Parts: sequence; C-alpha cells; structure tokens
Amino acid sequence: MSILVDKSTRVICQGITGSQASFYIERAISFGTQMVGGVRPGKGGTSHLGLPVFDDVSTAMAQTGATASVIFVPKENAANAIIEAIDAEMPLIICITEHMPVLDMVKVSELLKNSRSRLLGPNTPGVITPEQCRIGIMPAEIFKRGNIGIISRSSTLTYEAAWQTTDAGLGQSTCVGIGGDPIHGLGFVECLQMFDEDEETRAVVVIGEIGGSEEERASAYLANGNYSKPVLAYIAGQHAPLDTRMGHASAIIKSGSGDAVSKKKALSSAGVKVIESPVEIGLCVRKALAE
Amino acid sequence: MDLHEYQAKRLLKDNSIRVPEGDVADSPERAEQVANQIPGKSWMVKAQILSGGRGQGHFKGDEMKSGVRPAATPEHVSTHARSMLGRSLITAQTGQDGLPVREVYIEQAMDPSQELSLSLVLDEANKTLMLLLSAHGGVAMEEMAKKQPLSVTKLPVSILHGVDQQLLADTIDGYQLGKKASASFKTLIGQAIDLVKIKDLTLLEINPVGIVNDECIALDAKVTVDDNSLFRQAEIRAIDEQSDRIGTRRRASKDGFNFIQMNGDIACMTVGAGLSMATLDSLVQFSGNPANFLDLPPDSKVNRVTSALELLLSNPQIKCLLINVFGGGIMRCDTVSDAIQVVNRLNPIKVPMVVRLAGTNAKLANRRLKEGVPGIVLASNLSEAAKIAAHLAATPQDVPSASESDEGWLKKIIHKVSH
Repeated sequence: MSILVDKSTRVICQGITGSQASFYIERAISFGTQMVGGVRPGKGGTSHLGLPVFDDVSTAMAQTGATASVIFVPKENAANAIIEAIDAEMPLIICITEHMPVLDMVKVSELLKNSRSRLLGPNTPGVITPEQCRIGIMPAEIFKRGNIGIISRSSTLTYEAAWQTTDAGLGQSTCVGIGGDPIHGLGFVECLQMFDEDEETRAVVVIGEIGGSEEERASAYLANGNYSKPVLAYIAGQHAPLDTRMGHASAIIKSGSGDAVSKKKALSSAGVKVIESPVEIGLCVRKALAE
Repeated sequence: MDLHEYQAKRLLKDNSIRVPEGDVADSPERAEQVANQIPGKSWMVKAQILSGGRGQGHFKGDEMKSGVRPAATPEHVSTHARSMLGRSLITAQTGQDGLPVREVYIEQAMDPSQELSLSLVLDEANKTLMLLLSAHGGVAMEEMAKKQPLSVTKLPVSILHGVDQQLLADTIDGYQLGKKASASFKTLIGQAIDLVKIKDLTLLEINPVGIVNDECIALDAKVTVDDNSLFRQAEIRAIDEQSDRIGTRRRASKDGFNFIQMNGDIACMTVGAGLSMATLDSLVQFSGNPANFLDLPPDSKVNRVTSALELLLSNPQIKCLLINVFGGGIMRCDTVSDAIQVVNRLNPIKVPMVVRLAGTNAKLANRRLKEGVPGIVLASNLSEAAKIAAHLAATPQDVPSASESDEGWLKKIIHKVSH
C-alpha cells in the first residue's frame, strides 16, 4: 500500500513536448512509472518519447485510461491546464509549474471544490512511491521502499528528509510535496488523513516551514488524539529574519504570526514530536519507531 | 511588489475610483508648483515610503515631525517637502533606521463627514479572496479584525461569482450612511473587486474611505501586486521600472536567485528555499552565524551559480563559505562543482570552504572538487557540514597548510568538532 500513487497509477503529461517535461518523463519511464501518454494542443496523433500525444486531456483519458496527470505547462497557461484536467475529471492532478499568479490558484481552488479531482501543487516536486511510481522531479536514487510517510512544503527538504530516512535504514511508503505556494491543492491535513488509513505507513514526517497556516491546521486536526501513528515534524526557517520572504512565496513571517516557535508549539501540543534540527530527522524517526 | 501611495492612487483613478486631486514631487519647488495647480484652500503633504503608519511616524533625529502633514499655503507645502525629502521616516513597521523619503505626495485636503474602510486580502487558509469592511477609518484592518472582531465584517469573494449581494447589502445598511452614500460605497466595493482581479493584486486596502457630499473617496490606498503576474501586467511593469530608476524598488529576487543579507560571518549557498532555511537553522544550532540566505533555483546553470558565489565572496565579513546542495531533477551537483572551480581559477578563494553535495552526480562533483580545489572540505552530510563551517568561522587559524593532505585536515577538524 501507499497513498495517492502506486504501480497501477496510469499517468499522462500535459505539456509533454517541452524540454523540461521531456527530461523528467524519460526518467519517469525508466523508473517504471506507467506513463501512458501526453497532451499538447495541435500535436494530437503524433508521438513523443514513445508515447501517444493527444490534443486535449479528455481524449487522452478516454484513450489511455489515465488516472493521473502531471503538468509541466509554463506559468502563463498552467491554470488553464489544471482547469482542463478538472473539467475532464482527472482523479489526480500534479502541477510542477512554479511562479503561477496567485489569483489563478484562487480560481482553480474554487473549481476544485465541487470536482472529482485532487490537486498537488503548484510548485511541487511531485509524489513518489518508491519502486512503484514516481511523478515529478524528485531524484529517484535517494528513496527506498519502506514505512515512513513524508509530507513536505519544500522540494529540497523532501530530498533531505527522504535521504535521512533511507540512510537510517527505514525507507518510505510515499513522499508527497504539497508545494511552496501560498494557495495550493492538497495540504498537510488531507495527506495526514490518507497516511492514517494506509497500512504500510508506520510513522509520518511533516516538513513544514515558516509562513502560512498549514502547520496550524495540521495541529488542529491531530489535537483530538485519534491519530493512529506517530507524527514527527521539522519546521524550517527557525532563524529567518522577520518580514522577509525566504524564497518560497509563502515562507514569510508577518507581524508575529507564522513563525517557527508558534508552529512548533502548536504541533507539540497536538502530540507531534517536534524535530529541533534538520540534521536529526532520520535519527528522530528511528527513535520514535523504537518507542 | 508594493506600490507607493501615489502609484496606487493613480491606479485607482485610472480605474474610475475617486481620489483627492494630487501629484508627486521630488523637490520643494516642485511640491509648491503642484500645490498651486490643485484647487482648494489647504493641502496634505505625505512622505512616500513603502510602509504604513506614516502619520504616526517621525523623522530620524526629529521626534516631533510626522510623515503626513497639513499645509495651509503652497509655501507651507514647500517647507514641509524640504523637511521630508532626503531624510528617513521611522514608523512602527520600518525598524529604527526608517526608510529614506525620495518623493512626497501633495494632495487636496478633504473634510469627510464620515470615514469607513475596506480591504481585499488573500485568505490562504480558505483559498479565497476576502473582503474586510469596517464603519471606522484609519485603523489597521487586519489588526482590528483580530482585536475587535465585531467591528470588522469579513465576506468571502468568489473569483467566479463575486460577493454575496445580500450579505453585502445587510452589512452596508448597518452602517447607516444614508441612501446615496450607501450606493456610492457599494459601487466602490465593486470597483475594488474588479481592480484586484484585473491587476492581479494580492492586497488592496482603501483606508480610510472618506464620505464627502455623500460620495465615497479613497483617502489612502495600499496596494500589493503579485510579482508572478507581471508577465501580463504591462502597466504595473512600467511602474516597477520607474521605481527601480529612482531606487525605491523592493524585491527579493536578484540575478535570478533569492538573496537576503544577514549579519553573520558564514556565507551560505543552497539550492531550494526549504533546504536554505534548514541550512541556516543547522548553522545556528552549532553556534555559527550565517552571513546571508541564498536560494538558487534548481534550473540554475554554471554562470548563475558563479555570479552567486562572487556575490557571497564580495562580502568582507565572511570567514567561511558553506555550500549545501541536494541535486535532484535538473539540478546536478557537477554544475555547482564546476562553478566553484571557475570562480577559484579566476580569483582564488581565500576563505575556507565547506561543501556538502548529495543527490544527482554528487560523486562526480566531489571527485572534481577534491582534485581541483586544494583545501576544500567535502562533508558527507548536513550535520557534519554545519558543524565544520561553524567551527572554521570561530577558529580561522585552522586553515590547512599546502603540505597537509586533505584527508588529514578533515579528520582533524571532525575530531575537534565532535569533542
């Protein structure tokens, strides 16, 4: 078991003919992800990287039975690409695109509410279930099949956390990047719910950061004490200067809210084991499992 | 990207929202000229800095003078402008150094019968635009919403369907403005929502909204534009370029990477925002003092990494350089090692360097660095890298002699820091 994706996930790529998309899709294929096609308006009927290319998402779904779409469309058109996938009722949409206008995401979020789709991202490295399915841009070699679920707002910290759990001999069930933008699809709460129900996952690592309210909402969700597995969390940006945007659009401490101290406090009062240092993620998870 | 008041008011005016007549000036002479062109018997002189609370603020070295002042004659306007321009205004939001005033805004003084306020903000938790309304003007709305929640009404705004008209009408009715002023306020709200959508604003606060002869007029305006939307906002791009020319632009990004100067002595370079923050966290954990935050985007090529390195090394404060890169996707570790070698060859790096490379092509990159850059410390994980960098910055005499082998030098340091 795993969450979101596994070996049965059939994936298409929107914007497949772009250079970045081609680079990652080739790697996804060699990893063993079931890539079944691509979408590029005007190029329907051709093929790319050995995959059939379609003009639109609904045709691609009908022809290939795709259950997930990964979007590598430039920011100017990324919202339209997501909306097209929502309209086609694509079950899982993963938008890798960075720097999307935030009001585009407000609109997308409204459309998602009454839809049959779930969205990861934008600005996400994607999702990986080791040895089964890799969608996005994560470096496959640092992951190992195992029992730790990882949810993260940052791509590079996902890699760091994954590598540390691999190095600690544990491995991962699924690693999910929810994306670094202020308004995004699935959040910590939804992923925590899925990991709670996943039999293979024995502990969950949440990699948060300053700014936004993902960590506070996760704390509120976990506070009732009904969660069935240990949850650990590291919050990046403990020493970030006030009112300065730290790279991610959402990583900013505004006038006394969103700072690491208050997030850590909220999480720890909800029963989460807070990892103080980013160098101790693997170690802390191993300890938590031994307890 | 934040707009100055005069830029924001111009944007409002161009989109049919009433503002007092006014213009910007960069000299006392120009300020007096502007006042002479504006009808009315009195004027307001307002320092243009990107900060709220200017009226309650004061100038550096002069506790008595505020950033917003009334003037009864054009000569008065000129005097105020002279005492503002070129000096720093300190407000509750600027910190103790304040912000330099390069321009003043001169506008017609208004005498509203009542003041209200409205704000459109992004509600990240609910993934929606939120309209904040209050029957009071001139107070910070988000703060007031927290302290006195009953005095601020929050109404969600759908991008597709707008705001619930019934809820909006009920709220405005509660303010008892009279029929004509209520209608004017409602029109203003509609125009504000349109403006946010058309111009990709992430914040539009009109506060206070003055009521003059039963008509709403925007007495002050705060506007933030979404940086990510500039590709489709030509007018805002022009404003941004203008701000850049006069040196008042405030943006995080520089040469395609995020750079934030800090006060310490360990220069840091990382790929990705999260790992950058984590690198600073680990340095501080081991009592190191980061000199900066620098986050390179993952699609960086050698030349961008090179210019980032050159920027870091130009800081005379630094005692150590820490590079922490987790290669993944299109970011390959050999891009980083190539850049280090280029910089070192052009201008040999004089501070000790601690490099931790992991992920894509890390082995290859480490081998190149070991062969090409004598004295470089190659750490195998973040913990080791942070420990060694903090130690080197604290005890700079530890730099290895040319005769000492890299291995021995590293072992010695690791031995030292682990005891």
